[in-house]
Amino acid sequence: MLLFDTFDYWFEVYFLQGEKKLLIVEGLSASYGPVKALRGVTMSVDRSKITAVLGANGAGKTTLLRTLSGLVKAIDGSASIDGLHFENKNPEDIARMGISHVPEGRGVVQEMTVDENLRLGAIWKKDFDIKSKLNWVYELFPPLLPRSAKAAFTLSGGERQMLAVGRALMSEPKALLLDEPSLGLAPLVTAGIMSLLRKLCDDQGLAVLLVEQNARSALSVADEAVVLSLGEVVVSDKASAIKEDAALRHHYLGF
Amino acid sequence: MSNLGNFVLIGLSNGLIYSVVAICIVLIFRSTRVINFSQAALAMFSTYVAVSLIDRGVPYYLAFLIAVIFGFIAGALIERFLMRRVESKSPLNAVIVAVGVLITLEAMAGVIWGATLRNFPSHFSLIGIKIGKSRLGISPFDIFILVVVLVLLGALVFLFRYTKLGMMMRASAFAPEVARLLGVRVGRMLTLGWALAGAGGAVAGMLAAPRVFLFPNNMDAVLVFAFTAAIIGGLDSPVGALVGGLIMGVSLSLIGGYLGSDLENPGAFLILVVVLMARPQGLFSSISERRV
Repeated sequence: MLLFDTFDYWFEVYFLQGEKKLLIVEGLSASYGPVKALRGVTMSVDRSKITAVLGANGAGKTTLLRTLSGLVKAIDGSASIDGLHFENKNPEDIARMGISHVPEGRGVVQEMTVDENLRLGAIWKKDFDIKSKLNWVYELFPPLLPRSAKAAFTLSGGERQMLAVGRALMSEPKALLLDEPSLGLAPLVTAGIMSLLRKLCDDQGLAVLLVEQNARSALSVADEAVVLSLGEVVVSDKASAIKEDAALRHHYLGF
Repeated sequence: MSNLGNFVLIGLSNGLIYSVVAICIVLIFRSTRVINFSQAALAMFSTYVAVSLIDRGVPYYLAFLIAVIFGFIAGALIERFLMRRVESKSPLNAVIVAVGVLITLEAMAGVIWGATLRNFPSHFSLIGIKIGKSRLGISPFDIFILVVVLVLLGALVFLFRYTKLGMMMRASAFAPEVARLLGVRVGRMLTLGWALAGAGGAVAGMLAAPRVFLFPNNMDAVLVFAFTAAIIGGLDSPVGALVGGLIMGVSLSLIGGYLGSDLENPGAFLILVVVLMARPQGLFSSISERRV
């Protein structure tokens, strides 16, 4: 019977889930010196889905994203995208595998212009029609167009966030890792960016991993959610299910 | 031509050389926050390479080119095998390694070529151009300096403004972490930055040698003036470094001309102190803008 069980397991992995699951994270651990920030995180991110990562301050949300994008080295566990492992790779190689990380605080290059920032997003791509991609991003975020020749530090907070997200989309990533995109933004601006991401997920199969402090708003846009506490996954479920679980919400999410 | 005019012309010509070294210092400071004290020694060493080739009958321009290529490769090797190891440590470590490279290269030059002062064969006349009856303070060699520096600056501006590579180098300098997240190989950009600085240093060494003669420490004074120029310019602005170099060149030429050449070194420090008191961030720094 054991033989059949294993067969079933692998059948599921390769033929059923393999198509849906884009990012698979297993037992991922990371630490800052002696402090363990991630303790064996296991989760997955589906194509065309927005997956929210929730939890209190210091739960390991940002560390999870930084470990996935290679800025923090994993000390244990594995991570793969489309079946290709990347847990030991450098950030630049991980980016080239189709993972775009928009760091907290809108990591735009302040001294460079909006146009240059966007071009940077796809700068490593060879034989790439950067012009049409640029136009596409300017269509997604119309406020950026009149400012294209301005240095990024002249932009407002909302415009910077649009620039950071637009730049991350330039390279046609498979997965987008967003760290606190709503921080310091007007709710309307955040809502605009979120509905746009939802559309990209539906149309292009983009997978979004969304880290949010504001659990309520994150759950309203996400399909799936993972709740972290002290570097461990405590719940991983449909966003709607977590929203309805009052005890869980009180305990881990504070609302 | 009046004395004043001549002093200014000579000063501008010297200043161009300080500018080149200052721009190399800025190039590295911008991307690694390290003051590269080994810049002077690399320039001197490249010049020695050129002079020993010229002694063996290699044409001047070819030797110049080889010196620049030597500086380029040496700069890259220093970054890749020495500076890379101390990069993540405290900035003081990197500075001490740079000083170590300076001392090692100067000592090696002494061992290989001897520590005595030697003449550097100039390809152009150092005697002032004659207009009518009077001689100008600038010689054909000064015109050569101007042309070479303009070509070098033009090439750098083209690289940083109009090429993908330059854009990646700028992004790596301004925001290394963000650049890596965008797939830019920041490590290679750093190596390239040091290589360019090494090549620029070789150009400065070749241009300075006919005037300051060639000996293992010949570029030390130039380094001090260029360093001052870079600080005047704000340490992270190439334009500032260029202007700072010219300011240093002209001021030192005037001080040397009217007050005596003994006062050039103290004069350099005086200028540094005055500028830093008036504008601590330098004349052209964008740091204050960036902190907004």
